[in-house]
Amino acid sequence: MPKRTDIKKILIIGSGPIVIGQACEFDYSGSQACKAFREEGYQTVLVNSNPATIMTDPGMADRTYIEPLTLESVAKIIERERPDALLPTLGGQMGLNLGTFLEREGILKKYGCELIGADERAIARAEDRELFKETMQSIGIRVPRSGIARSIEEGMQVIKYVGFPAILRPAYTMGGAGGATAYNMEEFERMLAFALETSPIHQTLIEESVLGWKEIEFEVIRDCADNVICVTSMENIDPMGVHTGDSVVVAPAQTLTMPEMAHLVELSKKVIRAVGINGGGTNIQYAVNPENGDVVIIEINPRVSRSSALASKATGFPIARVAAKLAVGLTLDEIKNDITGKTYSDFEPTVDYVVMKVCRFAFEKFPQADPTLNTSMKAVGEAMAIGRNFKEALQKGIRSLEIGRYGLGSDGKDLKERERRDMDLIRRKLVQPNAERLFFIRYAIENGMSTDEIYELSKIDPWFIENIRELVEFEKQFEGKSLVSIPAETLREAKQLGYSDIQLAHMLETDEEQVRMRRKVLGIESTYYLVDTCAGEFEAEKPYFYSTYETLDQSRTTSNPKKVIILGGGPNRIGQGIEFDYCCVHAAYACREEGYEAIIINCNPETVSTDFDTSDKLYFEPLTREDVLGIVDREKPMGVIVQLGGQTPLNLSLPLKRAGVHILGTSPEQIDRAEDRKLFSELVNKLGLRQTINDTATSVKEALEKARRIGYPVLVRPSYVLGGRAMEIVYDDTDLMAFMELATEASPERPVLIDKFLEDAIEVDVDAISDGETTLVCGVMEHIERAGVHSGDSACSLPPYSLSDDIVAEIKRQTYLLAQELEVRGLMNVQYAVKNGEIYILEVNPRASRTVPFVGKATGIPWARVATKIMLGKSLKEQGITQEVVPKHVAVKEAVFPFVRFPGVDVVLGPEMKSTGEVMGIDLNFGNAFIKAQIAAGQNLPSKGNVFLSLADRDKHEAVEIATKLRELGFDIVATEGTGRVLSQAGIPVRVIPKIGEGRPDAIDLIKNNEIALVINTPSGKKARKHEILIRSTIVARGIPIITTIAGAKATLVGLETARKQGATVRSLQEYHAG
Amino acid sequence: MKPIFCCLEDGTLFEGVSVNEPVECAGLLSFYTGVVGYQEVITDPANLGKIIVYTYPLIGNYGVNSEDAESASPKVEAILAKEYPPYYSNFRAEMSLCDYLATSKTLLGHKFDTRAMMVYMREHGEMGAVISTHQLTANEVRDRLAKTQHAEYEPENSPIACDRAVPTARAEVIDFGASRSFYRHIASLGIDAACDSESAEIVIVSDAPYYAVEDKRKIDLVKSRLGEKPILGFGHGCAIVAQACGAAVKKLPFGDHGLNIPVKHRGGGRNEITVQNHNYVVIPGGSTECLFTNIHDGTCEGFVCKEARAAGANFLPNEAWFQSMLDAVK
Repeated sequence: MPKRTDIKKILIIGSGPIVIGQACEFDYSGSQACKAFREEGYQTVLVNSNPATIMTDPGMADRTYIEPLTLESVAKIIERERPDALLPTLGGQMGLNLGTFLEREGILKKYGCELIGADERAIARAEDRELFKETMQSIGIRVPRSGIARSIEEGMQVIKYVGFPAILRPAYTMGGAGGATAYNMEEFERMLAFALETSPIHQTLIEESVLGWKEIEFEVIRDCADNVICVTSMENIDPMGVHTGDSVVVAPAQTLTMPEMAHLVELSKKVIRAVGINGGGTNIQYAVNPENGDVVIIEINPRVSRSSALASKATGFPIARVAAKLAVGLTLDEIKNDITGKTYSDFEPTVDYVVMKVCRFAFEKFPQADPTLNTSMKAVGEAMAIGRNFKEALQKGIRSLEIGRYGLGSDGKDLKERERRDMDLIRRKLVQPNAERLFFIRYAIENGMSTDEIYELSKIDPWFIENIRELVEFEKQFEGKSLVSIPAETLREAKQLGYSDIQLAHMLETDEEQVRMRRKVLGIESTYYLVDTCAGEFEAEKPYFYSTYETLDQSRTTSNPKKVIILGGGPNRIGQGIEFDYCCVHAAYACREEGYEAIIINCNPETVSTDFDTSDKLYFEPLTREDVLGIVDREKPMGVIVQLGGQTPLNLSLPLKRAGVHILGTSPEQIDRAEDRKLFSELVNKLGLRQTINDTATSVKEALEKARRIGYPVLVRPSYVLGGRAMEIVYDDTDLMAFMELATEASPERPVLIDKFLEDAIEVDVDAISDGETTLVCGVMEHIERAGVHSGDSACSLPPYSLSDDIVAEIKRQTYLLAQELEVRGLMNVQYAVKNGEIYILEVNPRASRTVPFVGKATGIPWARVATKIMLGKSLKEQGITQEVVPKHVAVKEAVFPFVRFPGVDVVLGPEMKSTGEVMGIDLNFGNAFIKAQIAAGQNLPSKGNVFLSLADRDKHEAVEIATKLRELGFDIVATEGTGRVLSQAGIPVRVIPKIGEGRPDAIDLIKNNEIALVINTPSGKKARKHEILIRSTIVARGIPIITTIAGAKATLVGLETARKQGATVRSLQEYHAG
Repeated sequence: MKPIFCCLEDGTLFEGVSVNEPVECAGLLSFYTGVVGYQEVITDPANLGKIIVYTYPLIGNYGVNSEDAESASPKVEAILAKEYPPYYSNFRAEMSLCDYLATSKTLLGHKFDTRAMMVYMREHGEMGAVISTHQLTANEVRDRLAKTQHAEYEPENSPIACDRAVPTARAEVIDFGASRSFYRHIASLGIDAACDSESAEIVIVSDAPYYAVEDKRKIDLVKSRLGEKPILGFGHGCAIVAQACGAAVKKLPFGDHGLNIPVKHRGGGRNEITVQNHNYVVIPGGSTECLFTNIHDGTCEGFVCKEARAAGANFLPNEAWFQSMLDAVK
């Protein structure tokens, strides 16, 4: 069937900021959709609030709007652009919900815009719990016993026949947000209230628990001619009860027979037909009873999802690209399979390898959070690994995670002997799903526990347990052996089982390099096989590659001397996210534009960088020294780019250089000079610049002495940490001693770093680029929050909104000096603090920073691409980029936090980064841009109502100014005693309420009764009091906007005032950049 | 656990390890690309005379059960895998794959680089091979193959009664190598194959081992039945019926052996992903028309010959497609 000609222009909705449950996979799917539509000759309009995406690059769509993903703002875009169709299925749950709501509100009808990919009925049949149940029953598929609740009362009726344990699933949410398992009435009542709150339509499914059943997923695709294909099956290693986003997942399913598999495929095809998707894909989750094979359907996602991104990367079948083409009426048999280049998309991929998805968590960032895994997703990222067997894929997966582990144990990082023998601990860890469970299976086996017992405790299929047992048994051959005495065949077998050189070095009591050399002597080197969609049956034109230890190498290495390897960023985690993937993708584009063969190495299945057509060649591999060197040995590139993928590849720069690899761009020695504190201080002194007073200490006594000498408050942190890990501001000896206790335990030989903390200083982020001759400042960003909040968590404005021209000029001068001194070739980021007209350098990173994509979107220049070309030897002049860009518009970046996922965790900002994503607001002035950024970040800023104002003592002097402004804007003020007194004295009307525990109604009562529209609450000190945390987390759970800094409050007030005077502008990036 | 060699008739060697007692065997080296279904492949009579290489690397994961067998015993000469895990898990499993193969002494080899073998077959075609504990030369392999007799298949599966009150058709099955799922499938299409052959309205030629396709006696047998009643052939039965009708068939360099082969009906409508296991395709021409087409390579996956009231498909069609075949020959 030919594509539709009645539509010309298509609106694509992105998924917004990276949050838990909605990550880079939607940049990947959205970018594929943009490309697919363009290929078919359609005009595209894109809206997304996330500037760190590739999809929002001005070249991807014809019109790109970086605007909040709200009904109101998308409606304005539709009014302006008049698209013929809207594709809601590639922007995650965000896109799907927006599409549905736009349809329901009649906005699409009003402007003659049609939903394509999945219509409203189909979406409702999949998402609406009641309709879903009906639809499934109509085709004879069992759903767990369940009922719908729209209120607590209804819920109480439903639970009577569902029984305990019961699962709660709020409607129209993603990543299982708000979901929970209740084991008793008390829990049920509490969880139900929360679940109803979380669902945008206040509907929750209460469902019979099939805890412990196998969780099997399928990806199916259907076109408008009713052709249906099943892309792959996936088996969750963690059984039902753990969100699939938090589960270790293996593809294809390993323990189903042909009839069972065929039955599930048959059901899946029935499901997609019954739901009525007629140009797109669906993810289907089943629970299978391991005792008798009974099947129930759990849920479906009528859209491209995280699982479908994984299925795509696991099989080579580009689901999003195909789904986009199907949405405009093409059929599967008309779409070429781009991997083989010969066959068509109307087939079912088959594989000749095992794919493992492992999850990356960030519990270390949220110590108060409950690390038990359940039905509400908690993982912040994931890695995918490919091997020729389960064990190889598993061990590669674990070392891809960058959690300091190099396989499933035996890497020198296992638990200490005592804990490893602690059977109570082991049993607990097997019963309660947690991030380390696979390691505990290992410990259980080491302690002689039987597979049956491990299965009884964990309900993890015995097949997986036996695989781990095989590893434990295999390792016995290493006892008492050395690198020389171990037989070559055992060494080869170890590599085939996925053991890293680091694990082997640990077992053979030698070092990684020795193992590597020995392997080379014995000829045991990695070979490369293909992801080709067809298990080798057809010759593939554009496959991607994974390492294994086989007899044949299919790496198709060219002898092209112009060949560059770009190291990607690995799994998403806090501090290292999509921003770096954006940079790597641009690096690949730049290399290809300059006629170089671009090779990417990465292991994150969510990303655009691991899309098969981003680079000339993709290696789906862990980012460790060993894995990278294996590829370098074979490819022999002219150089490797490490400065664009964030900290992960940067940490590899020196080890790679020592192994003889040429690093493109700024030299690893210079990078080290900026990272090493001592060397860096010397550098700052040499240039006559200023740093805050700082020192190091190795003992509590020393720390106290030095801190006193520097003067409190001081910023303290253990050396060599990322993302501000464990960094704290301490105000007195007591706090410092508490910190030292923790810090020294973490790293006994590492000194603690102590810096003078500049209170109330303005922080400034500068991105610059240099080719050695010319240095340009890409952007100067003024932070909204004061120094002390991690730069990744702070909002910022480009251009600066309050700094004087002189200060900006001086900041630029210092930046040029630093770039010259560090011989920067490529990008550099500098963080400054400005206090009383003095400029202090906080840190210099001679690499791409998190802000590069934001600056790119604000200025209209893809700086990462420019930087890559510099590394390839093309000067800025040659590239025609000689002018700094100071935009006439204002762009504001705001951070987005995962607090709603971690009930009970305090939401205040500090020197340790906690945000998972970012949004951008762009407008003609700061006020509107700031408000847009707030709205896009999910702050539902009100225009009237009660503002609850509760300021810390040190902020109380600001109370009057803020309150006056709020009154002017028409808000009423509610305050606790202290803040209230200050306001009353100033003659400002205020309703004073008692503190928690001192009378009712208190703040929590008002919040729960929806009487509070906005909260401004600055924390009272490092050790926030318990009730403060309680208030703040209640607010977050209920979606009430909260501001926790004075600077943030002031900026918000400026914004609200501006917005009131002069409405927001809706304009595409292309228009902004045209000037 | 002994090293074994898969020695090809062109002299190529692939090395692996035997899981069970190594017995020398010879046959056509072929492959199977499905992720599941190893047990079905082993027991399918149509795989007689073959040494099967599984492209999916892990074989044996879910054990073996009696329900899924396609015949009473293993039919293949040997199976070669990347890895045979010595454990299995499935609620229906009755024994391990290795134990299952013990009675028939069918060789189970693993630690073969099965992808390398697949790629080799893709580039050089499926060919004869001998599995041995010794490295054999091309001549030795050819000698051994020349001495190998193709087994004459004695039907061991019987038709299943169709549970419909009014069957779509009564059929006589010419069983050259029908699997149990073949009988289950035709029963599900409403075909009563358990009737006595006198009352049969149609004749169905089942799947067969690859060497049966060029067996003149079998073609003649089918030819002798032409005109009497409509004849339908499936699997390799398709190529046999086609030749009986006078059509030409071509041996593919490497056949279709998997679960994922997309097929188009000449009448349009929904395409199907089919399960196939064949080495021959029909070359349409004269009175033989192409009914089904492979979406990937455009080869003919099924034909109709109205003149001879015969039709065939390389796979087992769904009910609608089966009906269209019946309609074309009635």
